[in-house]
Amino acid sequence: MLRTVLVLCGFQLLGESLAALLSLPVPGPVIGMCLLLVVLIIRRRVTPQFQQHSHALFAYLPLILVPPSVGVLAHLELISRDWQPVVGVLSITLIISLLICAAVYRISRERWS
Amino acid sequence: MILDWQAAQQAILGSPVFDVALTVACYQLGLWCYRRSGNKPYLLPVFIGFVLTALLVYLLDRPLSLYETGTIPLIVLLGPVTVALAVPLYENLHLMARIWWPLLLMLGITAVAVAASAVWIGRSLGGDEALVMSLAPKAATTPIAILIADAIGGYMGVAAVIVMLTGILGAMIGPALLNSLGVHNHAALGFALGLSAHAVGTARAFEISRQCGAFAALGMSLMGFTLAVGLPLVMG
Repeated sequence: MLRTVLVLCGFQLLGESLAALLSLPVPGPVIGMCLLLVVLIIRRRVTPQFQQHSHALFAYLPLILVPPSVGVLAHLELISRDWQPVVGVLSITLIISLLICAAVYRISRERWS
Repeated sequence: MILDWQAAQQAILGSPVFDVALTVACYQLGLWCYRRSGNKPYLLPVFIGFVLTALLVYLLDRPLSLYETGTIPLIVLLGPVTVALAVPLYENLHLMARIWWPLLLMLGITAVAVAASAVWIGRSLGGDEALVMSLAPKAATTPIAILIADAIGGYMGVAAVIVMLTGILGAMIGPALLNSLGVHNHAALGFALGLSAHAVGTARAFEISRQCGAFAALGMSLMGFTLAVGLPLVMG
């Protein structure tokens, strides 16, 4: 497990340093993810251990997301004032997303079966 | 012997593990509710955990900065776990082999349309600019969305909650709406759920079938990847 965590941290640090080096606005961990994906594609395999440990980490992802979500407490005033754009974006963009997916499926239906 | 109740209470509230313990306890309770209910999307463990933790932090009158400092051990893991998202993306990449162009077309149009309409609707309804930047990455999965929001001048907390609500709503109405629009193919249904409702949609898709779930995981990863790279470059 420690090896997997170390590899992941290594890719994150690589991503953060690349973002700083090239003044990229893309978050460091995301660049780390891209680099790891490239390495996996080039090696054409992912070791069972690395795979197993990554999935073990994902089991805790929802828990890790609770503290950043609680940060919304700092913006309650803003949200209660601007509730219209929040509710509007939340509902309308979801419908748009589902409608587009259905439309693309219908024009390419024979490719999916 | 004098029992110093006040000192005991101070010891608990001042302990370095208090915030982590509070968060894990609320999350566990959420997990329990979710399992007892038979996995209802609106009882998502992360959502219940968030609501309970936020409520307790608020009721205990605990300064948010104190809570944030206390939960750094959890927040630090966000980066490595985001890097690890490359693994499920790699595992599901082979699903693209035969149907790559409908998948890429669906991904591309949905990503542009959702991000652009979020910004446009947010601005035209008079939303504060930082608020709009928190809404723009709503189609990305939470860990990626909060990183994007932070990178483009939004609020991580707002983005996290909006993404959660999107996932819950999408998992609740998505399958029925897509079915009524003639999408019965499990691959297409899953991919659409992953694109529109990320992790919660993917969990819902796995209840429909394994194939549906795998395509949802692919859709969620590709959407996160696309927005993570695209939005900061366009907005930044």
